[in-house]
Amino acid sequence: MADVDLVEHRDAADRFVLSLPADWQLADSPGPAIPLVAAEPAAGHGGIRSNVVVTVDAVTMGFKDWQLGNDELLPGALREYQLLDLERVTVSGHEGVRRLATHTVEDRSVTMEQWAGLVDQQGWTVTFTVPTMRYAAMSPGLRALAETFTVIAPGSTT
Amino acid sequence: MNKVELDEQTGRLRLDREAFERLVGAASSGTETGEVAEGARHPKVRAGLEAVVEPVCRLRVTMADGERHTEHEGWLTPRAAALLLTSPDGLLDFLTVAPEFVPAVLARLMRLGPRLRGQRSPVGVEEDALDALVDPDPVARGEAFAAVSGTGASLALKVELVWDGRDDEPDGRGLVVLDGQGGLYAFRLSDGVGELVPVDGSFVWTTFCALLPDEATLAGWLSGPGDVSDPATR
Repeated sequence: MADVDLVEHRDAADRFVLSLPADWQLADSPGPAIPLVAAEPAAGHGGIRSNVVVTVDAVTMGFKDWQLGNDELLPGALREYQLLDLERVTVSGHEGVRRLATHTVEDRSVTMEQWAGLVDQQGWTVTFTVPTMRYAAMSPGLRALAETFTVIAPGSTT
Repeated sequence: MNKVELDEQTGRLRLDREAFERLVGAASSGTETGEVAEGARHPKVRAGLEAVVEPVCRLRVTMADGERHTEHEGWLTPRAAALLLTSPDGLLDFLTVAPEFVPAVLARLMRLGPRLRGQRSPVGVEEDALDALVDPDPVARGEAFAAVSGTGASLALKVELVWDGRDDEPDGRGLVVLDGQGGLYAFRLSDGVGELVPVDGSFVWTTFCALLPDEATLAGWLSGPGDVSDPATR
């Protein structure tokens, strides 16, 4: 993805920016708590399309407890979930975590790379999901995309 | 015929080595494997045995710690990865998955997950010593682990993917990972000098994913010797 043209996206409420490959297609936002959903163009042969989902929640606890809660929830929410790595990172200048995991979607193996950060008690999560067989090639690009995520104004989640 | 247990839902067979060899023998000779063992009628078992008989590449996984030495095998085609996993009780689990699930199987075998990060330094090691880390002889393994005690490793994992390259010469690629209290380390050969480099779960997962040829490459290998290429070039 190193030579891919990127386009900067903002949500409707101007709360954040995130750069994505120019050919990724935005889907309608299901609501303020899921302000961005985008996927690569359909490949034509079926299969899982690489995609990204941005979510935001009002968080009433500290960063560590928020993420411990997510670690408990994910195995029950995603089929054949396997946590592979956790890395402390900075997300939009705040304490964050990068979570790498694999799970199964529609009988296909996918790799999930999730970046989460807490900004003014708003928990922002950027989740990339890609076919496992393409993860090695896409990994550096996903990191580069995630690092463009910037919260401009936390705003309201409701 | 020894007992063969089938998990109907997953198509996983539990059997001993003798039973497995008989099934492969039957599959190789075109005999209906279901006549050898009822469980071999399962579509996943059939697909797995086809991969064993005519693989385009083979997988070897060796895991060892101070007490145990375990070898697992795999056979890949574009459609299926047949895996023969050794259980602690000595019995074998024969399962068939899509090739894209092989990284997940490897991750599960070594219980890959978050590990110690922080300030860690490479540890020098002779390439020959890597084999000793997964030697069946516990004394040889103990000495090898002692020689790399700077890593804090208690488990060694060696993954090899092998195939017939140009002119039918064996070719392949692989990975050696150490795991333990000191976190994950991977072997690297740089200018002829071997070292164990601190890595993380992301590195190991990415390497597992890159180890396997993609579907198109696997399919290309079926086209004939003239199309054989190193999957590293994909």
